[in-house]
Amino acid sequence: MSFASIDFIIFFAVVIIGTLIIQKFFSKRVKECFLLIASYFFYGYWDWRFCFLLLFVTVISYWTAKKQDKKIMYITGIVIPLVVLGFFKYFNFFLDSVSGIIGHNLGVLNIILPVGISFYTFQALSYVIDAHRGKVEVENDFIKLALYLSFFPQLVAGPIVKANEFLPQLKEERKVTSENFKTGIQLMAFGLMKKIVLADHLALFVDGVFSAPSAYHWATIILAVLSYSIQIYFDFSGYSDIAIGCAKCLGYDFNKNFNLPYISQNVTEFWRRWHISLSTWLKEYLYIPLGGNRKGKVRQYINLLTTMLLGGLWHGASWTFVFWGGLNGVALCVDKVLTREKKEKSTFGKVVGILTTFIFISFTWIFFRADNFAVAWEVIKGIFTLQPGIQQPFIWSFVAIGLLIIGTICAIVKSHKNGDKYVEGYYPTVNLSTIKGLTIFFVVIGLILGLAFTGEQPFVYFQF
Amino acid sequence: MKAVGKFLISGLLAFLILNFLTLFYFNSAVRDETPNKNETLATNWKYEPNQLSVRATEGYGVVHINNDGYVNEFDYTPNMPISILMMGSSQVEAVQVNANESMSYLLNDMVGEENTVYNIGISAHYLLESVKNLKSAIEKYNPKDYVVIETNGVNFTEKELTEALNSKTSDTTTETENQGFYSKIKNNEIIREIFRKMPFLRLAIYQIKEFQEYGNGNTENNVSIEFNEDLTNQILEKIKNETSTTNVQPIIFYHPYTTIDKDGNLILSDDEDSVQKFADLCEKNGIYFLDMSERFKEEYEKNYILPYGFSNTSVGKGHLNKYGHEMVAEELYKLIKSQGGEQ
Repeated sequence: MSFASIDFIIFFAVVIIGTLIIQKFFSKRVKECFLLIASYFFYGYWDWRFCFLLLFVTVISYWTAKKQDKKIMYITGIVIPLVVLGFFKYFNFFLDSVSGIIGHNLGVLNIILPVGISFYTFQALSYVIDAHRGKVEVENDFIKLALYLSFFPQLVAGPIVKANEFLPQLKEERKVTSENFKTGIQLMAFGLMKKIVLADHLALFVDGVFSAPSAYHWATIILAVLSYSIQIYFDFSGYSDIAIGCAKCLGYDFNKNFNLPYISQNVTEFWRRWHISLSTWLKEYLYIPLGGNRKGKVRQYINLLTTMLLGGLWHGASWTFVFWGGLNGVALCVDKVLTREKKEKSTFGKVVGILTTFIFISFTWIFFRADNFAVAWEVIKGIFTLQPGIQQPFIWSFVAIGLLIIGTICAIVKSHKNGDKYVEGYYPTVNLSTIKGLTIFFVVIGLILGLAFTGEQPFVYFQF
Repeated sequence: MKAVGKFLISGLLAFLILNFLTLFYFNSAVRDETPNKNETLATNWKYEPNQLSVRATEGYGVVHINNDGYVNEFDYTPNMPISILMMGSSQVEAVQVNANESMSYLLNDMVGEENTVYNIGISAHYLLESVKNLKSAIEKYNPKDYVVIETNGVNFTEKELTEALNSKTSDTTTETENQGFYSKIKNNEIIREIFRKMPFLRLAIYQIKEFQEYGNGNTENNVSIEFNEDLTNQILEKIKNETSTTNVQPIIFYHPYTTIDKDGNLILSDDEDSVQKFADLCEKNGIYFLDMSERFKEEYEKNYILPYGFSNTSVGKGHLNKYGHEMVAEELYKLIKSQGGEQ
């Protein structure tokens, strides 16, 4: 069940009404069970068989964390979810790669990739590792742990919520309240606007160009590459906003997953602002355990590169994702070399930094979006050979770029007013207790309905 | 109570704002649900007269619905000298492009005489639907020289062809966009008036219907149909017979849909063998057949111009864009000129 569907609207309304009734007449325990059933229903809506896999990973995490004093259990708690992920997501990739090396086709298995497996596997790992490190209490309540791993707002495409951020919330008295609902519903509307109005329209154009890059004029290809940068941002951050809004309506808080990534002045800053929950996960559970920056410069660069290569592979079982991760890893290493001396940049320097970072990141997205290296090469070749072809000044690209610039300027102005040096994104919420606020909200809802792309366009990150 | 009051006032205000904004985005023409019973319709339905249609969901078109309920820049008067009558689907209707970019407008311009090309193209009126209405269309508009009928395919099922031969109107053809909804409420004048005045309601219904169609998996019908030579010949004979009574020359123009393959080649949707058979049957029956395939290919290969698609939709898909309309108008004009101009 996608967030951008009528089915989800009905499902969410039932969950909210059900939770309201339960919190009034029943115990917190009943509410937890209700949310757990709702989450499994949400997940099983795609394919009920996936629920057993989710349950299996939950049981393993619960069981191994409880016996964490035995090293073998700790290792089991890490290895089994990784094996599950490896089998479902990477087995065919492995076979295909080996076939390529040995020059003999080993064939492929007919494996369906369970939606969201990468996300809940990382959450399960974070729980087992944090429990082992003593950062989070071992959860004796199976229902709570199961709800943490399956909580429907973040289940299929994040944000990756760490155990120490969510489990404590389950122990508190969190409720559906008017205030929570008013904030949450606005975040959901904001995310829907990004997703079904902007990202989905951009996808029409981007998909067309990436399906036949040799047919398009070089300027159109550049516009498509830039449009993809905006599309993936609106798509994924839109999903995160809806997830954060859903959780908020139910009384739970998730951290921000995106923070104006395209105003980053270098790639290091970009990764602090883009998919923050994944970046911090990789940092805490991969980069730092590998040694981080504690073992000298060379080792730091190797660690960075390894982290980003694996981060790339996490996104998808394809060498293009690995290459994309590698490009970002190299850029992070270059950043580390160039920014040893920290000097305050002039405004011009900042603008140049933002533009070069955006151009570089957009270039790396080519490998992320392309189905294979041949397509990526066609795109790059088309641009650099000033290829003639179809010219398509896609209007939604200009609308999306314009809105992104306006939103960014608003955030910069707000940060300056607040005296903040670090520009923070914010949600443009209104007071829904006033006629003005309600009117604006209803107009936004009407615009979403009227301008939404009505075709089928799944969230980009569902495939991960 | 106070909260409910705020809610209602805000809802009303927002609704008014949205209607104002929608005026410039999707102020689609309203279908005429209560046509004059004494009037013979030349199409299964038409629009309410004297409206402006604005649509930006696919392309951007501002067009005038004339006093006769069709997309024409000029009004209809009985006994006006119509030289060329244009019949067909939404491709001929042309609400996705501006009035002065449609094939009928351009052809009118090329022919050089005032108001001689009259457009009665209406959504969902594909070839066989036009055949069903041909007799009444000719009787009503009495075109002097040509009747141009559009088609985007030449393969039809036996049922479709038989229905057309018996002039039985198909129910499915009238269910387009929000018209199905209108059919249900057509007897309620108050509701119809609300819909006339509230473009946002029409947009909302259009969008919800589109969502439902995709949700139900109702996309394109890819069932391949064999060319039925015998029944198709009977259809063409019918066209010839009905036009010969007034000595008007029928022209069928065929426009295949296009896609671009991964190597950047333009692929036409046509089944060349069937199109050739159809062309031969047209010739046998004395009907001019205009195949747009070569022109579409040539424009793409020389100038990278596609006949379909807009700058706010998928490249090369959907309705004819202004280039597509121009190509059709030019080819129709060439055909007419080559046959000795207006008869």
